[in-house]
This record gives sequence, structure tokens and C-alpha cells, in this order.
Amino acid sequence: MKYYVLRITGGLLTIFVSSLLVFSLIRLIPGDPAAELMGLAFDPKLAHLLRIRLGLEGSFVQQYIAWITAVFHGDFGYSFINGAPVGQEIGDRLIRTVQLLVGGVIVGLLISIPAGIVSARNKGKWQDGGIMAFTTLMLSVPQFVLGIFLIYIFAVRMHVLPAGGWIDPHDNFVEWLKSMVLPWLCVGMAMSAFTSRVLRASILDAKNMDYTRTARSWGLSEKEIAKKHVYKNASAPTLTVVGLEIGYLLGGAFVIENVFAYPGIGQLTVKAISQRDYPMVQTSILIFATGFILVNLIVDLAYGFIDPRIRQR
Amino acid sequence: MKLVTWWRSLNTRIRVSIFMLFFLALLSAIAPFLTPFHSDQMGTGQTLLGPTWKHPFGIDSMGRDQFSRVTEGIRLSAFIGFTVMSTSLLVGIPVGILSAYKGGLLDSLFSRVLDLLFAFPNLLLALVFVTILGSGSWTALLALVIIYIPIASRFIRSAALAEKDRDYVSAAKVNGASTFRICARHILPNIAPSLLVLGTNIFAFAILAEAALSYLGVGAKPPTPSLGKILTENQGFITTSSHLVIIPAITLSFLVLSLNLLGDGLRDYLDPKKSNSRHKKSLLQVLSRKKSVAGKVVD
Amino acid sequence: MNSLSLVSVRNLSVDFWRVAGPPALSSVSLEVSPGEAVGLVGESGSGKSTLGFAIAGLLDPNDAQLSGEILFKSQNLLTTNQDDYRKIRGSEIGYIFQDASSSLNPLLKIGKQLTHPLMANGGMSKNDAMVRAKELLDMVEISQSERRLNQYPHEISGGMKQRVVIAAALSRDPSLLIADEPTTALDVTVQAQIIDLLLRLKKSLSMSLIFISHDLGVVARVADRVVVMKDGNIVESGGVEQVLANPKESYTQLLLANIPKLRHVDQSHSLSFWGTNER
Ligand SMILES: Nc1ncnc2c1ncn2[C@@H]1O[C@H](COP(=O)(O)OP(=O)(O)O)[C@@H](O)[C@H]1O
Ligand SMILES: [Mg+2]
Repeated sequence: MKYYVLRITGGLLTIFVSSLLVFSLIRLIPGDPAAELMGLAFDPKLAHLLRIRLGLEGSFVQQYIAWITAVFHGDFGYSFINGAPVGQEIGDRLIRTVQLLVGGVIVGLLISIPAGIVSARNKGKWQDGGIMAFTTLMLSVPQFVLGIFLIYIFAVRMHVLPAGGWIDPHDNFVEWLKSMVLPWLCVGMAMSAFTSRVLRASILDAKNMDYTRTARSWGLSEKEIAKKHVYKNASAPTLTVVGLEIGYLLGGAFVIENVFAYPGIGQLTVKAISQRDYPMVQTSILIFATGFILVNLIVDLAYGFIDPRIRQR
Repeated sequence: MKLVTWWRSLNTRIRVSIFMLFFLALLSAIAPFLTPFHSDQMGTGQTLLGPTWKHPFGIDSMGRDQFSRVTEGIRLSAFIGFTVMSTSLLVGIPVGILSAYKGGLLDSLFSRVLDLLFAFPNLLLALVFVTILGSGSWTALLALVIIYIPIASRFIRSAALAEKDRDYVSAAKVNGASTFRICARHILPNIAPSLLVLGTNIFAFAILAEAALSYLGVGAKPPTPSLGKILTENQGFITTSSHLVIIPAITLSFLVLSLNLLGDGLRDYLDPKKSNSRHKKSLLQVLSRKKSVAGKVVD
Repeated sequence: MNSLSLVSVRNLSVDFWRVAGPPALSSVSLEVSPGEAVGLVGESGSGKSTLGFAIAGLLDPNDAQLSGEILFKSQNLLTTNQDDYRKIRGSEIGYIFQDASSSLNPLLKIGKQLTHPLMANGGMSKNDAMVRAKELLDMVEISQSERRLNQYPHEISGGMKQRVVIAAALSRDPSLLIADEPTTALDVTVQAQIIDLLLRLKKSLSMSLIFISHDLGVVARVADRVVVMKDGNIVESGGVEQVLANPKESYTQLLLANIPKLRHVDQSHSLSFWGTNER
């Protein structure tokens, strides 16, 4: 119990600190955004009003408190570029990015769990060699390059799937599903390489542990040993890696969304960065950081659930 | 003679990766002499041309020779990878070892700061820094250096942590060796093999990250031929002139693959648990700067 | 070679594929009668565990090549198929490993792990196994057995863990128990308790015992017969008094001269050196 409470408080604290960090980093940028926005039409009085609206007046602490209070009320400020409320712009895109990542992670697990198990079971045989060679290759292909290859194969060469874009599932569910296949595959394949390697190594480790030998001495069959010991013990390190991979994928979302012209939050962020749309950047970075911390928190909690030694520390 | 024995002692992955890297290095080094075209010279007359003898990788939409662009992209990647690797090791080695060796307040402060940085995904951090510093090749490079220094430091810290309680360190301490001496002459040589692997990995990661940033348009600015940038510029022509996309994509993957193979191979090769052959030990010692001993072992 | 033997190892050789040099066991022969306690001694690396593993069928054929015969109740285990061998191992042979702390799965509760040998190969139902698990903990004299069932291995002491391992090994009433240095990783006082427990259980369950140790002092207390091993060979064997009082081999003399723990065991439990009155 204490472990869970500690972890959750720790997670919340990290989210708070990172919000502070994001907030101050944005304010480190040299230059006056108001002046930049008004350009040649600069007018000190109007600039002052604009700064108030952008939340740039007052001391740092005042600014932060005002910002964070507003965030809690669902008010993320207004875009520098078109003045639209940031929250509104981000909302739909957030859902789509979550769809992309959750689907991709499921695909990734569907690939890496069988791959890890098969290669561990056939250690040293051709199945193992093939899977390991494939993962080495996958580890070396950057995510966006993988996306480009997928587009080239399935859209350009075979014409079976769209090269990108997004279709509203309410309009046409089948087309939506088709448009999601390549992005999900891209996320899943990128994630599966390392995950299946770690799963394989953990299974082989667990198979060589003393307690597995003990179970063997009790007359348990290899199948029972795998079911009762190996998979459970191998799942703990694998879980950690899955958490790391999801964190990595959160970063990868920026790239993947750009490759597939997928209207998610990552694509928006990159555009906002090149346009120097700070409220937008600030909000989406906060969302990504929060997502990352939450994923790590969930992994920690799940780890405690699996391993009593961690839980009771 | 020594060289031949040494080469034989290497594992396949290292040998293959050396060939691959050598091939890339050679290609990008002699490319300027093979083709009269400069990487951002637009006056070739044609656009979107397929591979020919004169333009082996074709011509892009702006009439530039792809071969010279891709080969210059390799050079740029290598430069970025090397710079990020060497800076992060140069800073990470003293910081990591000292933090591990000294422990106490310095170490916990260091660890807290790192924990905070690790609360963000790498690429996100890079994007944040690029937002602050403005986009461009140099700021992307700077952002990567800022990100990989803590990663290297943390890795080195944990490697040094495992060494600092070993007998040889205690012995040196009892003999009154200075902190600097213990760190530089005792701990560092013993973690050197893992530093080599770390360096290779950072090299590869940095290349990937730079390519991703440039692909997103916040890294290299045109006309700089970063491999990531080449991919964005040409992705629109993937249906009509797919070679303009596939060739740089394969080049980038090939480069990273060769580095990953090297890192993988080195890790196995340098793993003290696995090294029971004399040659394996010899390279360990070479890396640990005990050349005189190594010489004897190899002969 | 008498036909009444429970176990009869004949010219057993074990060679690990990955290791160059002489085999781990070269043409070893050993007899264990029902109810007999045989002590297997020798320095570390002499092949004691390999012999124990071989009898219990715990050597992976991918790791080691076995030749010769291992007769258990007149059945040659080396020609028995893997499934039957496994069933014999589960019901007839108990094994206790050297390191109690790693012998149990850290992620599973004690009770659950004790049900594993009971439920293996179509044994008991889950509920019966749980009831029996508690009885087993009582048998190995673990206090508060009900509570222990719900504890994890890291929550109990090393000695208690070894008792749990013993309970699991004895759960199916084996006719042979192989104890591979069962006390080496424990404190001296705990060592004596575990040895006492093993001796009592051996008597009450009337099983044979192969007791592996590099410590002649402990073997002297436990065994009827001693077999001395060196470099994968048996160099001397005979009644425990005879071998210890009058060692023929210089190697055995050397082992005898190196019994550091013996005196501690003696003092703390005021047993005679030979421990003959114990049996
Ligand atoms: N799984 C194994 N793989 C390779 N060699 C082994 C293995 N197990 C034991 N050996 C070798 O066999 C020999 C006997 O070991 P062991 O039976 O464990 O000795 P003991 O139990 O008497 O200390 C040793 O030389 C050891 O290195
Ligand atoms: Mg042993």
C-alpha cells in the first residue's frame, strides 16, 4: 500500500515540476512575443493589452499561478497564430494521437510477445536466428524511415492501403480502419524490436534460474514450468521495457504523424514550434510530459503488482 | 601479423560492421571526386531524373544531383554523430565517475536533476530546446549534445558505481592515491570497454535524432543535405520518383545498422564474462591502456 | 552390485558439451540400499552435484552427454523416456539444493509453490494441496504455518526457506532424497537444526538419502557410508567409521585435515565426533 501511495505522489509531483519546467523554458525564449506578433503595427498600449491576454504580465510566480489555475479550468490560453482557444484545437487531436498510440502498442505486443516466445523456445535454431536478425534490422531503421518504407510497399507498389491522411470513422469506418493500418503497423513494428528481444532474454534468464530447476525436480513438465514460473518472472523486466518503449513512442508520435499526415497532437506541435506559437507548444509539451509520466507511473504500479519485493519495500 | 590475429579474434558482427562502415566512409570520401556536381548546385538542367551513369542516384525536383547530396548527407551524419558522442563522453566521464566515486550530496543532487530530465521523452526534449534556441543545424546539434550529456553521465555513473567498491580501488585508497588518480588510472580503464559500446550507441542515436529533427523541419535548413531533410523534400515524389526517397532511406538505415552491429558485437566481444580466449583478453587490455601486457599476450 | 539396491549407478560418465578437457564424471558406480544414507564428499568441482543431478535427471541433454546406467528400482532411467522419468522424479526422488535463497520463486507465495509438486502430474486438487501444504510446513517444524502459506520467500529467513524446500522435496513421500549441500549457505546453528531435522525425517519416512557435502564432519553425523570423489572419479568408499578413522587415500586424509566447521557443530550440540550414537 505504502509503495502505491509513494509512487502516485511521486508521479503527481513530477508532473507539477515538469509543468513548472515547461512554463519557465518557454519564458526563457528571448524577445517579446507581443512585439513579434504585432510586427510593424507595434503600439505600446495595445502590446500591453496583448501581453495581458497572453498571460505575460506580472511576476513569474503570478504568471505561473494564473496559467496553472486556468489549466485546471480547461483553459489553455489562445493560439498566437489564429487566436483560437488552444484547448479546443488540441482536444480532438489528442484523442486521435491516443488512438494511434494505443492501437500501435497493441499491434506491437501482438508482434513482440509471440516473437519473443518463439525465439526463446527455439534458441539457436533458424526461427531464433531469423527473428533476431529481423529485430536488429528493425532497431536500425528510424521510425520515420520505416513509415516511408511501409508507404512505399503498401501504398505506392501494392496500392492496397492509403499513403496517409485520416478519415473520420463516423463518415466511413472501413476507410478509417484502412487509413490506420500503416500508422499502427509503423508504431507496432518500431516498438516490437526491442520488446521482443528483452522478452526473449528474460525468458531464457528465467529458464536458467534456480527456482526453475527446483520446479523441475518436483516433476513439473516444461509446459507447467513455463506457465507457472517462466512467463510470470519474465513479464517483470519486459514490462519495464514496454513502459520505456511507450515513452519513446510518445516522442516518436511527432515523427510518425508527420510521415502519415496524421492530424494528431504531434503534427500540431511541430507546426506550432516552427511558427513559434508558444501557448500551443507549451500546452502540448505539458500533455506529452504528463502522458510520459503517467505511463511510467502505471508501469511502476504494475511492477509492484507482479513483484512483492518491490511492493513491500 | 598481430593485426591478422586480432582480426580473426573478432566476431562476425564486428567484422561485417567494419566492412559496412568502411564502405560508407570510402563512398562519402571519394564522392566529390567521382562527380563534378555540388550538392546544392541546381543547374544540372533536368529535374526528377532516374538513375543514370552521370547521376547514379538521379536528380531531385530542384535539379540537384542526388548522389552528391546523399554522400554529403553521410558526411554530415558522421560529423553530428561524432560531435555528440565525443562531447557527451568528454563531459560525461568526469561527471559520472566523480558523482559515483564521491557519492553524498553531489551524487544525489546529480541524480535528482537527471531524473527530472528523464521525465521527458528524448525527442520531446530536443524539440523543446529547438523551440528555445530556434531551429537550424547548429541548434539541433546543440540540443542533441545537451540531451546526450546527461544520458552518458548517468550510464557512466552506474558503470563506475559497480567498480568503486572493488578491491583494487580500496587498495589504491589505502595506498594513499588521490581521488583524481583513482578515478583516472583505476576506475576509468576498467569501465573503458563499456564506454566504447556506449560511444557507439550514442553515435547511432545522435544520427537518428538529427535525421528525425531535420525530417520534421526543425533541424537542418535547406539547402543543407541532411539525410532527414532530403527525405522530407522528396517524400512528395514517392509515387513518381521513388528512388529519390528509397535511396536516402536505405542509406540512413544502412549507416545506423552498421553502427548498431558494431555496438552489439563490441558488447559481446568485451563482456568479461564471455572472454576466455587470449585474444579477447588482449583487446580488453589494449582498451585499458595496458599495451605492454597486451603485446605479450598477443605474441 | 546387489539387486536389492534402490539406486544403482553403473559406469556413469557425464561430459558437458561446452567444456573441453576431462568429463565431469568418468565411469562412476554407486549403490544405495533402501533406507541407507550415503555421504558424497569431495572438494568443490569434484562432480558431486553432477552425480546428484544425473540421478534426478536434472541434466539437460543439450548441455551434457550421459553414458552408462542409472537403475532406479531396477529401471534404467537413462533409457526411460523424458515423461516417465519426470513422473518418477516427481513421486520418487526428492531434491534439496544448496542455495535455499534462490531455490524458491520470489514472485510466488510459499503456499502456492508447495502446491506445485503436489498437483504435478495429475496429483491432488488445488484445495487438497493447500491443506497438505500446511501439514508439510508443520512437518518441517515451521511455526505459524497457516500464516507462512501466504508469505513470500523474501519475508522468511534462510533457514526457514530451506525447510520449505525440504517440505516440497518430501511432499510426495519419495523413496530417495538427494540433499546437495543443504546447509552450506546457512549459519552454523541453523545448519545443525536442519541436519537434525533431515535425520529425523529420514527415519520417520524411511527413505534413502544421498547427502552431498564437502564437509566430512557433517557427513560423519549423517551418513552410514561415505563415498569420496575427486575430479569426477570415486577414489574411496566404505562405512563411515572405517573411512574416517582409517582413510586409505591421501586425498581423504587431506579432506579430513580440513574440517574447520566440525568443531563448531560439536561444541554447539555436544555430539560425539562420529555421531554414531545418533543413528
Ligand atoms: N552446467 C554445466 N556446464 C558445464 N560444466 C559444468 C556444468 N555443471 C558442472 N560443470 C563442471 O563439472 C565439474 C563438476 O562440477 P560439480 O558437479 O558442480 O562439482 P561439485 O558439486 O562437486 O562442486 C566442474 O568442473 C564444473 O565446472
Ligand atoms: Mg556442487
